[in-house]
Amino acid sequence: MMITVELRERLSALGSSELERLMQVVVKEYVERNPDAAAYFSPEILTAGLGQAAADAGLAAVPVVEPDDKTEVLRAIALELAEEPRYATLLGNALAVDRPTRVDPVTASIVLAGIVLVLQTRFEVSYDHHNGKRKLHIAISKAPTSENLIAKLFGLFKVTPPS
Amino acid sequence: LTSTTPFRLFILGDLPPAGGDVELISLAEYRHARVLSRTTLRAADLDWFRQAIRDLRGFIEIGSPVLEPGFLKDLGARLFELVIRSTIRDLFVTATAQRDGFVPFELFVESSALASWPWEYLFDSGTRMFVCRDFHPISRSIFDQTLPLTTGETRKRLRLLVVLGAADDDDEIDVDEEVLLLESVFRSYLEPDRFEMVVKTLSASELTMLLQTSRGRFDIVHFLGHSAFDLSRSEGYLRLMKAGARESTKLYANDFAQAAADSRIRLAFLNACETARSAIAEEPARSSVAAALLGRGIPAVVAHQFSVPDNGAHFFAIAFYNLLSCGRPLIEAMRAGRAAMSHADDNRPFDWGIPVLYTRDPQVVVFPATDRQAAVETSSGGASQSFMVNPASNRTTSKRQGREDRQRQRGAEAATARSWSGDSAFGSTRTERSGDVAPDQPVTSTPVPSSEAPPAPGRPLAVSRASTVAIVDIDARAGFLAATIEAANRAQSYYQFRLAYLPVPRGAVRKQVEDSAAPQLFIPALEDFAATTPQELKSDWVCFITRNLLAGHGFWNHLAATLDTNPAVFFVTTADLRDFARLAGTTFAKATLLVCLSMLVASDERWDLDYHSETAGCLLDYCWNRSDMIVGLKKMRFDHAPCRSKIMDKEMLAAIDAIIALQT
Repeated sequence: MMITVELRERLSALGSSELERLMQVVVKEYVERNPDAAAYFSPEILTAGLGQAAADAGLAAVPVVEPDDKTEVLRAIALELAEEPRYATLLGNALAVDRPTRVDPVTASIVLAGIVLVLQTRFEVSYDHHNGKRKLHIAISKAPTSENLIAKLFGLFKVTPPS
Repeated sequence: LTSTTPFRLFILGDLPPAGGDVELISLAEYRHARVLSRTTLRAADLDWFRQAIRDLRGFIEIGSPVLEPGFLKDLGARLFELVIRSTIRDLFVTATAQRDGFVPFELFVESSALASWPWEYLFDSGTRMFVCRDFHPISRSIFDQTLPLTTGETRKRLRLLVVLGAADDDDEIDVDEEVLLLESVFRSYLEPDRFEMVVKTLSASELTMLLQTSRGRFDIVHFLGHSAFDLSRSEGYLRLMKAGARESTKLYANDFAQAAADSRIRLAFLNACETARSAIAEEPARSSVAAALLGRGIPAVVAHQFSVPDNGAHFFAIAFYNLLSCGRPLIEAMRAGRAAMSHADDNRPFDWGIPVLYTRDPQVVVFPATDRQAAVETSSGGASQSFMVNPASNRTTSKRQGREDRQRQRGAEAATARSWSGDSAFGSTRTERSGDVAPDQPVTSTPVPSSEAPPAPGRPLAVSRASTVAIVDIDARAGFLAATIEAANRAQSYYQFRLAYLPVPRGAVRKQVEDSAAPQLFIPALEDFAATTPQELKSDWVCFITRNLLAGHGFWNHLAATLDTNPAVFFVTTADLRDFARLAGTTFAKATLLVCLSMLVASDERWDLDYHSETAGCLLDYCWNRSDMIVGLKKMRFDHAPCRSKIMDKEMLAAIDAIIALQT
């Protein structure tokens, strides 16, 4: 099932705070299913893991940082996630429940975490704890079908993919 | 302590991490009886429970998966049948049959994994009742720890520390509203000398230090802010922030509990998400914020096992403290709080089970009843029915508007504030912000309404005491009311305003009244209910505030109107007031207060006053066109000679002038 027109329209109309809340919901759901991931959603680990993934994809020196203005980046991530049936359902359900709660956000780096979530729909993402250091691994494979996605995602950091 | 005998249930046995069948033992105690039952939890059933509980958490916290209406009863019934069966069930039925009021249900669970299950949703399919919602309010304790027997000494003056973990401009939590509501609850039901309320914004280290150095200083700690359960650490935490700073820090369960261990706090209320959530593989006293506090000696902890909606959390807290301050036991306050959550606009059917009480004694009375509380309770027909709440909505638009009003008020107050100096040792207090009390001073001091019987409706007030005015917010959701009332009371002493809480019957709002498309509150529909409210609220006047225009027999689209059978009761609407206030260059709060004042003056039978057709910027302008009210709001003076000259009471005139001059 692809993203529905209705869901696309709703995501396209969301404001900044709504998009952030929505992505926090998606990340929380992922962490609940993968408790090991909780410790890896810090800015440093996400930046390092995504930086390595960019390098593996041939995108050297990608400035992987949480952008100041997250709105359009979060929207792009949400739309990308919504292409997956599982996330389309989750996003649709989460949009139906719009009430403020007192839960602490899962991570401050919601854009980086969101990109990891999109990547884990195509690539293997693993979490490694070695010598007191935590690392996030994203096994990037350069299949033609995945290059568009990589280009799109890392393009969010305004990086031009290799020709 | 009350004398009600609790029903105690111990669940013994652990869940195998790798799956497989497991034998569980239930042990129940009631009075002198003790019975035991064994059951085998099959692997397939265990898988079903785990998935169902994951789904429940998902639905409550993120709305996914969507659950069928019968899901909760199904889960609750299977939990019930798992642990309350055969002889245990017989004893439970006996306890229910012999009850005189509620029978507290105390739960002790050996397994960490089982302790993390939502037992509050136990559903008795025999009686078709959720155990917790009906006669057996559930509380939890810690299975394998020896807890102190004392629940702390009862002192005449209770001290409440409110710890703010969110900023004023937090989009998810209306901090100001909850603080104001807490304050008004205590003021309504406790003598001023019976409680202190200190409000602070603290970082993790400041709160830790305060708890460690303030042994016996506070009886209750109330936290409101953000919190969560850190899955990577298997430990819950509170999010705290330094006053005036944007950076925040986490205070984890065990660090918090260790700091509070010798604080002599009698009750901790953690009105934030997942504060009662515990780890599957770690005992609650080492993973849940609430259980960790109980394990370190705090006798009672109120917390939440899932994410809690902000609006529901307001309702829960206010109803909880309402009951508590009336001298009711903890467990009854919990039950009332759970029930009150259903009043929230955005309530969902599972919300009532989110709060959890961890305690070794659910029947402890934190505020012993006084004559005054008893009188209020008696006149209102019982605490559990009367002390309902009506906090303002948390809806973002309302919240933001409310915040703007309050900020405007604060700005005005700051401009006129007397000097206040110095920072308190820890963070900032609410009283510092308002600028009228020295830092770290308690928020108290509302004069106590007279105990004299109120005069006949609308009759002259012959005595020189304050005329008491109870304000009941039906549905206007005027979050600023408490602050406005406080300001009005500070400005004069002729009228003593107070916020009152009453459950108002539904069904009085009607659409398509005559030629009006706007919904109208049809006052005659509330006649029977409203007529006796001055006696019930022990007030000379009762002012109901609604967001709808007002209608009655032969009139509609009114801004204000009295009750036919009791002119001491009147209704005012906030419809259009926000716009009128803006056009007049004043605040919504001020406009609302002036409409109330107008009705107070017009209803005072001593002066033969009545509304006049002329629009003179007077309190008594009839305002045939509702927008004529802008004239009066702009003018902000009561100098219309024909009306003013009729009032012979100089104190009343001074009070009117003082209220009109308020900068709210």
